[in-house]
Amino acid sequence: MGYFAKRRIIGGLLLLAASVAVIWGQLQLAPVMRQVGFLTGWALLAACAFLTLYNVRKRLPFLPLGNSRTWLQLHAYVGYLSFVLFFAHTGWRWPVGWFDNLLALLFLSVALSGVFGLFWSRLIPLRLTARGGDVPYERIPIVRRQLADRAKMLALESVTATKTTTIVDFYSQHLVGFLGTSANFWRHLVESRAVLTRLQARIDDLNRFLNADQRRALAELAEIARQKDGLDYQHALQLSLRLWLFIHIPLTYSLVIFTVLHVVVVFSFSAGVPPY
Amino acid sequence: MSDQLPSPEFDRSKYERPDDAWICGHACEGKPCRLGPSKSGECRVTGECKPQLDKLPGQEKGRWRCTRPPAHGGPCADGPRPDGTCGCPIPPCVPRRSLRRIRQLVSFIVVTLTAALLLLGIAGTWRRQLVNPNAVSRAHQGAAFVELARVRRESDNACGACHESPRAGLRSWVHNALHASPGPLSRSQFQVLNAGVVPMTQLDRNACVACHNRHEFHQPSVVEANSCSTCHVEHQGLKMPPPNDANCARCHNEPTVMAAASIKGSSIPAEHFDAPVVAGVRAFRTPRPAGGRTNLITAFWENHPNFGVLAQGLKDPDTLRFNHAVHLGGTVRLNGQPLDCARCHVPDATGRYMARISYAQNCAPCHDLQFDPVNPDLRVPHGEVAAVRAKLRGLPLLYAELKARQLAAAGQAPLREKTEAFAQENMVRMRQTFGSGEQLEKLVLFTGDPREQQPGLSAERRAHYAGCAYCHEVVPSREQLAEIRLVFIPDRWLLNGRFNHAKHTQQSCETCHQVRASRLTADINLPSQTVCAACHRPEGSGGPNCSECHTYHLRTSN
Amino acid sequence: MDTIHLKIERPDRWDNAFDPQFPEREVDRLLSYAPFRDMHPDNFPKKQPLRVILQNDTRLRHFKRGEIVVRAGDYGSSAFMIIRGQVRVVLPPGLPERSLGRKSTVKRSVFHAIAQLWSNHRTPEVRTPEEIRGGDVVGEGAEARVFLQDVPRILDQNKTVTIGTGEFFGEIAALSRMPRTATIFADSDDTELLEIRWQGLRDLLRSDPALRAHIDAIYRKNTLSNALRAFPLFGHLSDEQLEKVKAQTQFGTFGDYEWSGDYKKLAKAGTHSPEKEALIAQEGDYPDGVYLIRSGFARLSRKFGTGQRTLNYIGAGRWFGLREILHNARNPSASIPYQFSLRVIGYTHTLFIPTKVMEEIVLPGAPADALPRPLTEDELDHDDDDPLKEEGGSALQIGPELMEFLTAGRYFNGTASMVIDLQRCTRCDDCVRACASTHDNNPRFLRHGPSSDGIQVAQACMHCVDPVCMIGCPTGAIHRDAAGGNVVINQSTCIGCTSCATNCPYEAIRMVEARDDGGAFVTDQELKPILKATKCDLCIEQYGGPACERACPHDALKRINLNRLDALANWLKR
Repeated sequence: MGYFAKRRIIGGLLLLAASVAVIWGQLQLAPVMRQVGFLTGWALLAACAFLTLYNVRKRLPFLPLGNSRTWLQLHAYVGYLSFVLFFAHTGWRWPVGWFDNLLALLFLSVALSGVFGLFWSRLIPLRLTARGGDVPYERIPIVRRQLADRAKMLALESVTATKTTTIVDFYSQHLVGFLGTSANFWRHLVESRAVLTRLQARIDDLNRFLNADQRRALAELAEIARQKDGLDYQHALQLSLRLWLFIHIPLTYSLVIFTVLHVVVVFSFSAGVPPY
Repeated sequence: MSDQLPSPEFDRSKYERPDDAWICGHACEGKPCRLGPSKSGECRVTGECKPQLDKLPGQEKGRWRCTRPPAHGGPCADGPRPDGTCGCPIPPCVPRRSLRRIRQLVSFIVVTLTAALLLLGIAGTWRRQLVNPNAVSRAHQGAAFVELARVRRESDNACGACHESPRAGLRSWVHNALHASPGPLSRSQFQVLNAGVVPMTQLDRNACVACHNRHEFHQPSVVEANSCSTCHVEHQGLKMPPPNDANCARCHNEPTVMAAASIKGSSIPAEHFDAPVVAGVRAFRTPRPAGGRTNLITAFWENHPNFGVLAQGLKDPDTLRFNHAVHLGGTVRLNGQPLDCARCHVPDATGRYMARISYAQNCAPCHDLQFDPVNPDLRVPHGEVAAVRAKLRGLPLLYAELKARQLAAAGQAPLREKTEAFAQENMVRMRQTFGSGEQLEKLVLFTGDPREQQPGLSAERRAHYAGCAYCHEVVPSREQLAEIRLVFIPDRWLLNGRFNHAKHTQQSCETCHQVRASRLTADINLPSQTVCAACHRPEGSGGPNCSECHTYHLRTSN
Repeated sequence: MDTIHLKIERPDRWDNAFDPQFPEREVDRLLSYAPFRDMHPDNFPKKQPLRVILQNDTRLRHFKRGEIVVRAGDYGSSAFMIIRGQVRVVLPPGLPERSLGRKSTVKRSVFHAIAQLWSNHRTPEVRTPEEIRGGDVVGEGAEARVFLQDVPRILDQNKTVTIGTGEFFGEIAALSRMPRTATIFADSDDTELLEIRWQGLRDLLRSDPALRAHIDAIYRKNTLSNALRAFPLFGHLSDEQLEKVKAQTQFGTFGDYEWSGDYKKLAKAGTHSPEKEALIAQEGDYPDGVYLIRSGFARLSRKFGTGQRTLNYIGAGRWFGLREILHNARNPSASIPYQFSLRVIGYTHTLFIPTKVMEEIVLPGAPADALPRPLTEDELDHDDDDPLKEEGGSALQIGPELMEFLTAGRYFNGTASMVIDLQRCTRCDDCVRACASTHDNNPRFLRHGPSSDGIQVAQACMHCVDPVCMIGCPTGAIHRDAAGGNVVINQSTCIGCTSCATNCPYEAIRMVEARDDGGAFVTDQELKPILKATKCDLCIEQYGGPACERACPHDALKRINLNRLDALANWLKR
């Protein structure tokens, strides 16, 4: 059994045990504690604080605070456990008040975005690697520009070399827009290659009317288009791997504020009115 | 993997800097400048190099030289301009935020919006709606609480009746939170309440007890006040959820608490423990047992004592003679049908309890108080003895009226001679059969079994001609010849618990009430605790909790 | 012949002279000194006459008192002969790192580590004035040197030995590609040294028996005992037996010393193939001896189809042919030939011990645990698809495609290669950010590089066993850290000559333009930017090891020693 499989099984079993412990503990303690909500609440807060600390760990790579991979594992499993803690805290029902509703919504948004992020982070690298054409995200515009420039040059050269505008016409009609900017974000996310296939069909169609020189130029343009499509694929998928954090992280900060206020409100309103 | 793309070629001589806040605006055109934006995101480049002036000794003007480094293409072909500016100017760009910086910005905006939203919510008039986790119970709502809040806290909303915080600002909330008891830093918030009395919290002392005079509304024998809010959780909706069994068991299963209650209870007059009863409801009061109701109870189905009325072997004190076994035995029929429970016992308007039994509704169809077998249309009234006697004394007139009704019904004129003759005729017959009028009155009042006077009376007809004593306890009286003992059929037998017949319609009456064998009025046909516990246990179909039957408060049972 | 010299012909053998302006009259002068005076021109091949060798492969260098000639721990491709003056060899424990132009690595304090949170510059590549000024460096480019300060004090505090006119030094380190063992500095103001680059020395040795005998004697005297004792196989020998073995041992250098440049060209042209590499021993030949790899790497391959399939690569401390010889010694009637071919990759320095010596001296009494498992009948009956497990080792677990990739890319050189599992890497750049955070906000690697089978070797310094980058650093700015042996660059003494970046075959060193606090480029008086060589230093100043590896949330990045494939195989098996 591989390390990952072993890690998943152990993690899963620990999570299961912890979840059962939480549920069992809550059922056992609820009748005999003054307010079991304090216990589940603080446990949830501790779990959330631990989950938030991962961000702090990431900012302190120069301190020996443990490996990020260990942190992520704990982050994921404590995250899953926090679902159980959350529902144990709410008494296995959806809260009613406005503030509590917002708090619960925030929690679930952060937690579910995290679950999605983990799933996505496991899925997308497989797809990126299978497709190939790896390029660092920040370099994508530069490579795109290089491809666009090369295509432009090829198209212009074809005019002088062949004394016809067939290639340059095709270039300006079908390729300029495609090469100029990152395109087809959603199509690439769902693994659709319709755009490239359509472009390829147009190229094949045009090919029938060309002489050998023009065909050579067109073949190069087709290759550039293929590379550009691959670059778009990289852009779309790498961007998606970054975008989910635009939900997970900002809402985490929001959740922190809400949580602090929640604790203040709970204790502040538990005090009552002094006798008058 | 056949169509796997190769990695595109790009300039790898430079590091990638994904952590930078700003990216050169020319980067998206594929040509970022060498210098890059400033820390604050301003474009600061003008050309590809800063030309240097080479001046030989003695030269006045000198010559500008391109200093573009080899890594960036080396000196340009055209060289600097005559004025010493770069010959390859770079148009100023608008630096872009890096993706990471944009995320930081989004985070900042979200945090700001959150803080603003919350501050607005807290500061605004709808702060109460915002932080209220759920509605308070009906009992704690209403104008009275608004007034209470005004008086207590000068608060403009009802929350102030119990809570200190609604009127104050955020700073005060934090202060109150830190000084709450139990507070956020106190270990007592996690205290496992094993057994015995739970001390009162700050909220209990400050809010609940101010209105509810400690725990006297439970039982006068409560020795030490228990925390209200431990058992009674507010803000759970309009209906406050009942305390759970563990809360009850904490005292009722704790010997020291029960012993103390027993001792205290022994010095309090028994009537102080009487459960209040709603006016008009006839209640059967079971005497308070010695030592009070202080049995140790773990759970209803385990060791809850039998209901006092049964445990003490009490008898129904009613004077009405009623035999359930006869009525349900099949011999007694109404309109040819045998009787069942529902013929007499029907639910009241709420469905919770059974409607009170009445003569007119439940007895009269069979026991219709006839006295003349020849003229069955004549009946004595049900009620006062005097009324019965008055009716019998006016017997000739009754016969005349009867004849007149009969003639009218037959379409003939009610001629006086005919009616008088009819009355005369029947009076003679009656005297011959029953003797004097006084004798007739006695027969009607005191006859327990009509067969004594009318031996040939069929079983079916017997009930119709029964005298008062057939059902009632009739004793001789000097003033009225006879006196009928008062009938007392209780509406409620168990005053410390509640019951809902409507919830038990799945069961037949006889599952719980064993009445087919009951021949005496004295039998109290209530089901025992064992019968209830058959269903009211965790594995049963009925709820096992104390709160199914009991309320915490010593209050009316209906 | 005691010494084996094989070589690959460089097409541009004389294209790049060591000193393009080397004057004829100086050659004449050199020819008047021993040992060149005593060399027989007829012994030299016509294509490589002595004169041409001297003219192209040597240069004259002048040193003042206190100038460092070679530093202990440096890698150098040249030997020196003293023409005039004298030099001093500093005996162990040697000079402090700082006086050699190096930076002694000190872990940051906890406060300084945390302070990076706010003290890191927000502009790229900011250097302090001290780092820009360049320490005790004088001169520029390849001529830059470091002066020792206060020589009398050094002589007071260290044991030194003087070497005088006509003596050679640095030749063993150059030939065996081992680090220099001692620091040597000029002891007189007019010291004149003849620096002979490796190629020239090799040719001189090949054609002049006297010089060869001289160098051979030095090697046997100073190095061979330790080299042999490093192998457990010789642990049981008495001093007398070891002397006998030493006497019969031949040492050989294979391949091209400056292989990285050659490799870069080959790799770029895409014409790299095992068949073109120099053969050390061939499959099917009679096993006439055991090869022990002293430094560098060699490829273990077998015939497969019409080509050669790489089974493994073997590096320093490993042997070739021992199982065959062991088998033949035990089964004299059923002797077998070499089961594999051994080919040089880049540069390999070997010790060769003849079969007879092995059978008579080494194998009898050899401890069982120092010997390999004997070849079994099953193993000998193998077909082409079933290579020997012993020799294949972990290489069999990683698959032929990746094996070929690692060998062709020569990644076995790395002791801390940054290997990325692309199927787990989310391209989040946490590794890059962590690297930047620990290096004043400057990343020190590019998260990109060649890949095969979903495994990428990123362009981060691999901290090579054979650090070609260190060859030719004029100031010793790039050096092995004294404590951990990691290759690091002292920014103060780096003069931006780019030799390390050019030498590195893995594109792991990048030249950056130094900036001041405000973000402006720092230039010299000619407005040329001040360049500094930068690369991964394995976070030696930080706590907890390489930040990149620790920062990877997805278990996708690891710094792996690729000298042996066990670690990689285990990692891939996860």
